[in-house]
Amino acid sequence: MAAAAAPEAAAPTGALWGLVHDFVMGQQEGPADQVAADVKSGNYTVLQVVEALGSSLENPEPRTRARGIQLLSQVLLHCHTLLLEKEVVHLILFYENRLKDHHLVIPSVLQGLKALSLCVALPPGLAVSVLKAIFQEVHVQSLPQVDRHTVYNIITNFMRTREEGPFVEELFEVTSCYFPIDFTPPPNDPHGIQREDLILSLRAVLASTPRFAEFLLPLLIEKVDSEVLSAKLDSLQTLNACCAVYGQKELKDFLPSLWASIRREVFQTASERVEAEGLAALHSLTACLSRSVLRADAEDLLDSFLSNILQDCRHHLCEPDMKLVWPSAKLLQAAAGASARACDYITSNVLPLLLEQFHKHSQSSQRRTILEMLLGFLKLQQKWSYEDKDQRPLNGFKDQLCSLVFMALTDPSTQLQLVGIRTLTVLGAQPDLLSSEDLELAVGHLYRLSFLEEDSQSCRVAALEASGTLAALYPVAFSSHLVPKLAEELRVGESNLTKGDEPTQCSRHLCCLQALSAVSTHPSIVKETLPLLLQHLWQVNRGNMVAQSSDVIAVCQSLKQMAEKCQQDPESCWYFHQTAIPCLLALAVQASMPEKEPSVLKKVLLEDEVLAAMVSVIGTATTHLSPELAAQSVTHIVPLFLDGNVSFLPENSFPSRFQPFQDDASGQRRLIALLMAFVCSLPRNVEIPQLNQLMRELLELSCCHSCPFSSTAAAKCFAGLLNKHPAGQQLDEFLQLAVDKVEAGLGSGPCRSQAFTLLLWVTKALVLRYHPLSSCLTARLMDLLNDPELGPAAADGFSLLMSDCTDVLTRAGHAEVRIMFRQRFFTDNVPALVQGFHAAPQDVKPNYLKGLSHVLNRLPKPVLLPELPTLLSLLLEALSCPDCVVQLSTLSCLQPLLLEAPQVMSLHVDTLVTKFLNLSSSPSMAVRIAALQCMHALTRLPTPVLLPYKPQVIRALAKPLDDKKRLVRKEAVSARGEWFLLGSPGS
Amino acid sequence: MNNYEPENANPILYNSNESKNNVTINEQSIRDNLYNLTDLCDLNYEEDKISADEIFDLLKDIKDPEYSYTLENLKIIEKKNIHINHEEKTITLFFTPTIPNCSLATLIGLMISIKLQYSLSNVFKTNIYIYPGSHNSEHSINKQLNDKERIAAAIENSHLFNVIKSSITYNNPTLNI
Repeated sequence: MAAAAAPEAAAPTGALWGLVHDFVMGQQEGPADQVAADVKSGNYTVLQVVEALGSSLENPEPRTRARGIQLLSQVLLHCHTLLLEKEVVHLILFYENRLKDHHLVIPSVLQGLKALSLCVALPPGLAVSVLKAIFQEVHVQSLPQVDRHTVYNIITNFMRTREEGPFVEELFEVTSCYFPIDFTPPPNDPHGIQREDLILSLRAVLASTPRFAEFLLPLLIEKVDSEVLSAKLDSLQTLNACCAVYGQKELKDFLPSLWASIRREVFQTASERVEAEGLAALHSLTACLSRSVLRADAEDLLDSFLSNILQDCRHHLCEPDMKLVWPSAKLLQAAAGASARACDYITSNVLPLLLEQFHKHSQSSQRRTILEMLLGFLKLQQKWSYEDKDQRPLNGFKDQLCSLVFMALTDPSTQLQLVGIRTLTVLGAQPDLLSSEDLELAVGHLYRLSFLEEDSQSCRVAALEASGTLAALYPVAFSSHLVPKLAEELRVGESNLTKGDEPTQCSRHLCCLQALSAVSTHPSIVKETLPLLLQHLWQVNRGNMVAQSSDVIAVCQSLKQMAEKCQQDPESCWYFHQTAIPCLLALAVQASMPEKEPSVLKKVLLEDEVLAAMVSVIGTATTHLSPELAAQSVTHIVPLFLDGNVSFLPENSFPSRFQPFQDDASGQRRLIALLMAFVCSLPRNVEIPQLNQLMRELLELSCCHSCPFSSTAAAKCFAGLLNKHPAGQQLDEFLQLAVDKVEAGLGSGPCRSQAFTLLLWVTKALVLRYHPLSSCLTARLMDLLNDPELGPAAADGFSLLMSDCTDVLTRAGHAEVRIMFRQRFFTDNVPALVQGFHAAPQDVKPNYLKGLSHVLNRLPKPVLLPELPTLLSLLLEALSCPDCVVQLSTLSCLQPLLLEAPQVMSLHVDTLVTKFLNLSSSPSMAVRIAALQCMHALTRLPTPVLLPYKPQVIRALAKPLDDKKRLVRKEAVSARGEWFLLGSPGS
Repeated sequence: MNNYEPENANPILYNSNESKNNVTINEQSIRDNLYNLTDLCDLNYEEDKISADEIFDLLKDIKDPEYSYTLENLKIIEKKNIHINHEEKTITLFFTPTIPNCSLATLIGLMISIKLQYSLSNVFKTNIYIYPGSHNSEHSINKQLNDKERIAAAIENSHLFNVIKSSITYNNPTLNI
């Protein structure tokens, strides 16, 4: 070792001696890292380490020698990049020599060689010499597994950088003898090596070089042909890995046998994994053959390989009833998916065949199979883009494909129609394939399918979806051929409504509404469809038809879907917002005007469900607005509600003023829900005019007892604004006002329940944003669990606190919702709930259980698991609570726990079995089902714990097998089946 | 290399979802929202009588021991061959082997029998037969399948039971979390 010690590094060698001594004699691990770090930072040289080790390397006690070499090896593992070529040569000579040493020393020697195998400065020839030495001196096959792993690493490292020269066959022999790995390390293996690690390392070696091909491929073929499932899988996966480095040259001689083996596996296997791996291997083989660059005169193996595949598979494609049709199609598709060239070759052969077969077979089920295969091949086309339009292989078949799809769309079989619709969508996605005539026909079919009867729902839904996808690509075709028809349909529907409805007409009308929203996927189409729907709503409001709330709700649902489709496109989004919202508001304001002779029709618009439907339209149309546009809109809408400024509404001449916060008699205050939908969906940074006044008005209204709908809407609106308001003095003022209001209301009098609702929503708003006041309010809520009047409502309130709302306080509506709020709520409040339960008088205990089970039910299970032992006794008590809601909620909480914490749960198996069986005859169907699902989940407990109960459970579960509801019987069947199999041989 | 070849390498297959899904919309919504149902006691209204569809659903996912296909795919069982008599409380079922010399017909019958034994209470008596004329040794198989003692003996045989178990738990609805 020639590297000279630098003079200034000579000083601390005393310390080095100390460290070395501590490691070798003192058996401490720490010094090794210290020495490595010092070498790395240049304090010592490797030579100095060797010198310091000196005597321990020659010590007569093998354990000491091993320890010394271990230290050196660990240093090298960290510092191999610093080594000079000369040092490497010396170290390798040293280590090769040490291979002859005592077997206790060998593991450390191998570690050192592994470090050296990583050196960039390794001189040529040394790799061969190292490998020779290893295989000569050590019987690798009988080393402990961790050391064999090291040997593989050494080989892999050499392979990565160096030529293995004349040792290909020997190297192959010593590595391949382990293939396929069938050794499973014991579960307590101290090195944590898994069987999968061994498989992957060995595969990395075997697939590291094309030079192994001539030896490896026959071995792989042999193992694929064996009967052992794991050997088949491993071989196919290894073949797959090899294809990444092989070329035509390596594969050439083995292609026929490889294909024969893969084909047999895919054709005959009973295992889906073997099939999948076989297909993946074929895919890689084809990709490999497609990739190779050939000399001009060389034979291209790809064509002959593919023609072999075709020859073996094509006749099966002609028997759509038989089992082998699908494996054949899958094989062809796996090959075709590998490259554009393979895809061309196969498609140009298969497409004409399938087209012909479709016409030859007349049964719908046969045609469906053929079309489904065709669809698979068409989808593969999308993987490759063709620059030259004329080169696209589908062009020549376009007319035939279209006519075939149209035949499928008119077939009586729903299944065939469904595949037809999917195929049409795929054809439409091919750029420039369909002509305008094709599109007109396609649109006609989609129109027809969008009005299919009740019993082919799946087809209608698929047609709507296809219309949406294709309309985004071909807006002109849909504007000119579909929208006018739908408009006409809507008019017919209106006149039918006027006459009073027949059920069939009614469902047709619904279909039409859904079709209008489904096709609104392009801005230009929205500009036509939205006015149609809004006009339709005006017609309803004019009162010349018998409008029911369900009609208006259906229109609103359609509008909401349209709004969702507009969200992604800023232009459409703003168009929808500024067109639809004023119109909806105008309609609602109109309907809320006091009238001399109250008309039933107009009041439809003020019903709870109708307003809720409008709320979701307004929310959806607002959340995605840019802050600038939203600010523009807010300056109109807030003054409408606070000052009655109706100037921005279309058709704004109303018989009297709009004063939702003042009016008492008519329904004007119900429209606060619409204000809530809008202001609670605004981006957080949009400033709301007259906020102070608005908040006070909302608070006032929230505690009015005349109309629960509007007081709740006001409370929600207040809470929604509170949640988004930045911290500061104004927020504190609002909160103080709210707390005062709540306390005044809760005291006594007619508004207790309104005050409670306000408390609940304000608490939720604060819990979501981790506001410090939230704990105070939650405590107040918990007090109310003891309240004889509000107790049950307070218990249900916990469900609201923990669940996600749809209209206010949503993430989509830009509310401040911290991700971990449920966990935090749990940690902060569950101890108090448990304590409260124990302290509470008997008659209100169920309130605590209900509140608790609501909290636990919504909690992510991993959070719950550590707390389980303390909570479990309470949960078991809750199972005996007579309240169905508590039972159901507790069961839903226990079911996942049975799956995830079987050990803890098995301590209570006796109670669990008894209580679940009792609940399986509950009068409530939902409880029976949930109890049976828990009986099913119980089978995950350790079998020995369960076996004593098996006879009892099987007898008891016979009863729900005769339940009068089918859903219950179904659960009973699967639970009882699992119990029957418990403890059977092989489980 | 003795690769196992099925007796019938290329049997006829039938699309399984051709039949309409007989879960009603109401049932689906109950199942999806089980834990959020509000009207817990209003669900008890009418009785669903046990039907051929339901028996078919119990059996359709049993895997044929030779292939990765189900009895439904291979049309070994069909709804029209399941007969329920609610007065006499009997269920009679005919199954059709894919080829007349199928050596696994007894095994398939055994699987059907065991699955029904697990899934039905003792209220109904079940009879399982080979579809008349679809197998060469129809009579002897029928006799075996309806002999309770022979079936009990088959369950005792652990190798046989493991084959049966893997077939009747194929496509098993996994525990939903």
